[in-house]
Amino acid sequence: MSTTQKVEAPAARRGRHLSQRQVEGLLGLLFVSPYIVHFVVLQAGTILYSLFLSFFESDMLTTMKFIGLDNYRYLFENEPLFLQTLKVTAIYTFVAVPVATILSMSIAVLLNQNLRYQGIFRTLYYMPAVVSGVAVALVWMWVLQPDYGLSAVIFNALGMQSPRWFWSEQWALPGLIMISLWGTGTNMLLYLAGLQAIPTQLLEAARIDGANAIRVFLNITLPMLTPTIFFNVILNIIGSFQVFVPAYIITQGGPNNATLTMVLLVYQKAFQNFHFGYASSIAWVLFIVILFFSLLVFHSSDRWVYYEGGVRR
Amino acid sequence: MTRNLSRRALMALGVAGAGSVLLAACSSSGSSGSSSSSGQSAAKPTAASASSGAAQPTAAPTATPRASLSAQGKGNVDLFWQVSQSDAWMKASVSTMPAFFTNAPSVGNVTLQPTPGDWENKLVASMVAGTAPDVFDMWGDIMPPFVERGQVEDVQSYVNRDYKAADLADFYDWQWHDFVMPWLNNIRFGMPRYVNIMFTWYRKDLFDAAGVKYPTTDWTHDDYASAAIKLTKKDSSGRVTQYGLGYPVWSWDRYWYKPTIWGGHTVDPQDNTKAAFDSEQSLAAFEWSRKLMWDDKAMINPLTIQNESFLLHFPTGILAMAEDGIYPFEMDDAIQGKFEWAYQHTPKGPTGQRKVLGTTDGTAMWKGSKHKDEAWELQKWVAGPEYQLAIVKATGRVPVRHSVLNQWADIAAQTRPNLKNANLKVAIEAMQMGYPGAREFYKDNNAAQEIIVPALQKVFVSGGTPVSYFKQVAQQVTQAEKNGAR
Repeated sequence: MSTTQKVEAPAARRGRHLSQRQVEGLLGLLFVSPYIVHFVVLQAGTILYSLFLSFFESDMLTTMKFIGLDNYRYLFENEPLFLQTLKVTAIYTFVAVPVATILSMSIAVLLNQNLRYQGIFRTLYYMPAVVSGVAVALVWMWVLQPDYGLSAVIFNALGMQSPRWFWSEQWALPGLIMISLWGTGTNMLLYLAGLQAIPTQLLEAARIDGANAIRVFLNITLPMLTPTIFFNVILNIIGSFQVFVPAYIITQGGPNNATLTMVLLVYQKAFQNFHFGYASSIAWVLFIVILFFSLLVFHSSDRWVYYEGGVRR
Repeated sequence: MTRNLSRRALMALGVAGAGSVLLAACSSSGSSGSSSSSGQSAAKPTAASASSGAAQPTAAPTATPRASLSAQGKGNVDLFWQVSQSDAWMKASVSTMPAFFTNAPSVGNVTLQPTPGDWENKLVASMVAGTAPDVFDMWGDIMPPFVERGQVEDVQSYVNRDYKAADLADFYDWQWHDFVMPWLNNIRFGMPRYVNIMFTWYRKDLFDAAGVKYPTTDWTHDDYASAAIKLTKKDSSGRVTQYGLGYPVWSWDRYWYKPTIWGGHTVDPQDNTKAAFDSEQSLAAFEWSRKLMWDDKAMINPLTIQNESFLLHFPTGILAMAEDGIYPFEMDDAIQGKFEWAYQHTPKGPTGQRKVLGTTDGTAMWKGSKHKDEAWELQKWVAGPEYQLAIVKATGRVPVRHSVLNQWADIAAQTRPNLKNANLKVAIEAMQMGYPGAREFYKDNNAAQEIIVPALQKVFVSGGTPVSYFKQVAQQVTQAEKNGAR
């Protein structure tokens, strides 16, 4: 009996033996499990509840009345601020994302050069990204103070008058967009990682073939960087459509709703006006908008994103 | 010969630029570069915001939450009180607790938690979660949504049970009545905690320098405007270096009382779903402010002070007069005896009427409290003479009872000798005259606010828009009120 058992045991172990691929899969799951647990336990339920809530008239305290699609109907047909918030958010996104992309990539390219004190420069350029959004907002309020802020000093030195920035309907949104560029350090870091992953033999081969720096950048560096650009653009689009902190801290949507973003509208409708169901419907419309643009970028990526060794369709 | 900028130099330039942005921002402390006041007087810095809720200087957002305090009694009921005041106020409150426990022996512990940032939203969330404080500090402006949703205990029955006529007569008539909103089932939504009233603060040194007579009790808005213009100074480039007046007309809780003294209204008295600030009288009142701010450049625009509290900027010399609340100790802390200043009643309007915001700063009891009797005892204690006296001594704020008010000015001046010439008696006179009071409320105040605040910003903050624009805005408000805006 005991002999048989000794023979069977290794056989059983062999039966459970995992392939390299399975091990990697399990390890991958293990690594992402903290996020999955966090998402399922703390986020998924609330996300689904907000969808549920969007079909109700609810103040979360007393009223909970099913009204079907009425919140959505009101948003599209009667909400005077909907188009304004959509416009503000879209302008913010479609200006901030390209500018941030170009700026952070440019800084990364410069920081990827063989410079003295390279580490210090990289640290300094990344540093603003670790400052909290509220602190950044407060600092920029003073920088862009049109009478005696740094903006006034610069414009006065140029013999011009500083824009009124957050106090002007025309300049408040550009001011917020400018602030968004302050945090390009994170993007820059990703571009830097992308640049360092470009095989040096490709660059050397191009140079040997007589390509100048611009040609090398356009024909080798940029294409090889497109997966990073793609990743950054997607994240930035999602983040920009959800912009809230600077608008909330600096302008509270003003002046005259010139910086009223969609998330700020969600916040106002929920916590100031007690229309939680309606606010949820706005949040879901925002989700659809973000999803649409994200899918658009995903769909277009086949045409402009190059993966090393990848086959073009 | 050209010099190329090296890559390293370019990088360094970028870093230096960003660094200078930070340094410049950190070193900016106001228009005149003077140091700002200490203490809790900075309003939340928000550009272009016109929605300041509290008629008091509130603490700026800080990274570190303030610590809670607690007091121990011998009973077994724990109370949770959310306090929206300074550390000095909280400490003074705790110091009175032994006497409170004598009156309320069943209470074992009172935890005083300072209001967190965004406290109104967190209060909503805690009500939804069933964990709201038993008692919370508040003021009338924010209460209708809570009252409408049954979250606030009606304390009228407790008042009927515990107060005699003489007790009621000790409160100020106008404030006592403003704690009831007739259109909300006559619920008494809270008890008074202190009172803030808008007065005109003026700097005697700047008046003397400009050769302008000090304001008097019987001055008019024409005198007010004339003084503001004379007190305004500009530099050689035309930039205003000293504004005659600061009056936050862009603020939701302050814009409304000028139309009243011009003989108009902001809400139709017969129909609270109808906006009434499009009348000739109301528009004339708005025009008074608009002209002084934009044509005469004698009234400060919020951008100049980044919408911070006047208290922060009054000592810097950027303002010769300010129309704001009464904070004697905070003002003394900020000014430190560096110049002579005083309070004066705000002027009467063209109709001869005087009206300003007089606050209903008080405490409310959460309907879901499990210890309502004890919570009521705490509210009653806060509105009582002993507690009020302790607060007067610690903060100099105006008490809610005539019996304490009679001692208030003397106590304040004895505690802070710099206040001897500050004309504190205006607060006592204001109570006798009875002109302070609460705003006119719309049926859905929040819906109206959502439309009116941007309009105030358009006309007063951004400028370039005539006050006739408010006719259009009034229609929008009425429409939103009647149709039930979300």
